Amino acid sequence: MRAMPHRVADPGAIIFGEPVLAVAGQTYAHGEPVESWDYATPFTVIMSVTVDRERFLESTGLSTLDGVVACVAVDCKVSGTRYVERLPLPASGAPADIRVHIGPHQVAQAVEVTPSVVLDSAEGLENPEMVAFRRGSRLISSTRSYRFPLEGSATLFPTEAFSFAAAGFPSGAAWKLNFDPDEIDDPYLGAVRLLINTDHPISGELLSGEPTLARSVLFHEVIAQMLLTVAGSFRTIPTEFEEDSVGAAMNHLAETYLGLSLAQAVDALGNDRAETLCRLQDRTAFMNVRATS
Amino acid sequence: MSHTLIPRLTTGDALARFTLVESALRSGRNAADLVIDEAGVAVPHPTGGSAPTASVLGRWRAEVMESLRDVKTGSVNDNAMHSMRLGQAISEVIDPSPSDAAHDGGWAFLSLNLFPDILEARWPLKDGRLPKDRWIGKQAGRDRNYLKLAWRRWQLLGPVMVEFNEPFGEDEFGSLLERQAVARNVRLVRFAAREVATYQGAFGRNDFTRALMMGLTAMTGPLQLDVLDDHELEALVRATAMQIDPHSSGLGA
Repeated sequence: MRAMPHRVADPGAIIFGEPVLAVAGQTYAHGEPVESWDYATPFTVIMSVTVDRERFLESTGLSTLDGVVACVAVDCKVSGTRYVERLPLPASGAPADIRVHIGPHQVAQAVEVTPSVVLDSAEGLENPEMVAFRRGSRLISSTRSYRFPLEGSATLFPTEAFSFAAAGFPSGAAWKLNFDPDEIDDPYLGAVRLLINTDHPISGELLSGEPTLARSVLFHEVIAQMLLTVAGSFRTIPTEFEEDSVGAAMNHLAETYLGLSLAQAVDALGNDRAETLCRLQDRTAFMNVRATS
Repeated sequence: MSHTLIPRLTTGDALARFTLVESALRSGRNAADLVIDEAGVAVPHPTGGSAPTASVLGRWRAEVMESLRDVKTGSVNDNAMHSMRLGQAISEVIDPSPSDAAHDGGWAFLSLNLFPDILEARWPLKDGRLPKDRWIGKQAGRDRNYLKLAWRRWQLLGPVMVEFNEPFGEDEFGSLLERQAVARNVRLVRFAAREVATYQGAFGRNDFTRALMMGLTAMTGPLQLDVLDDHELEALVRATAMQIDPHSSGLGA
């Protein structure tokens, strides 16, 4: 929820439908792997918007819907691209579709879809009633983003297995976790990678997916390292996160394995790291195969 | 735009190749002797474009190297010019598909196999080690592969660098493109870069760039800047610059 320097619409005055991604004659809901897409295939993101005209005008203080648009932004973080389409707010109360077309070879891995409502005219003046007057003013203060995974096994933990000795890593190590996000809103799956040393005698067990002692240690260590990385990298932890972001994933892990929000978990690690990691052992069934099987 | 897909090295193959290259350079071998201008174990993405033939890879190498002939490295200015000319050459010769370019395996192939001499010229051995993040990339998180950054910076700011004959330095790029959500508004970043290129005020240029981008980032909260037209964006950047330093030149807007 953002605080705005102008009045915004009541939450119920604007309703966006759940977006779908249409490609090659098929449609996908957010979160669903878009299997029929490849680089050469264009696609369209479609999102509907419905307006309660009276409620919108009353809450924003605007006198007309003229010059107000619904926007849908499609962002691809890994290719650094953004596409924005806008549509004049439909005055009828019936839903209208906003369509964002993405051409071939423009995006990769995943796109995030974010709706907004914006003042697209600049005819007003600064006023004591705090009615928005600047072109571009956001007229809803809270929106969620929707993620569409385009490539890869979006639900699996990214893992690669190879010989550490040949790669110049310590040859006796069993694994290495690469996790060093720049921002708490970075896409989680792009920020983490588990490397398994195929020279290590335990590697087959680690890669097997079977509940074993070694995997319980790996599981605990991965979560501990990620929590400690977040605690050491970010001075402030927000309470809301973008979908499928580092923050959202870590918040989920903290709630599941420590019973704390991410912000609380970071505080706990700062106040009593030993106690917190001990609690993590308990909740991850550390070295307790029967509990995990 | 090219629909020829760059062969990719897996993380394991890239790290193994990196170790070999580092060891060879340490033992005194010439980086140009380490060039492998065929795909080998590197495999392009299976769909969405064509795989490059050996002759295409050979042409990529020959033309990029020709573009960098007589471009030196070493000083801050030389390094900035090297990065700019490299980014331009990759854009014009290889012209990667943005979809393909989002994957680090292709950049690892270009760095370690096709252009190790370019990497070595800019990011040579230091205390017997090569900077892995510049040669391969970070593998997880924001990529720092030198070729990828040079290409990306040219894609975003090439027109501004040409217009003002201004190859920005690492610090300025860092500030201009640090906030990814802001950097995806290409027009905004280009207007900001024009302001920086012409800045002649009292602040250090890096400090001015940082302050300008902080001011613009703050505006993305209440305003959706993507809907502004060019004239409005230009005026917004100009006004933000004037708030930071009333003596900024104004030539950029």
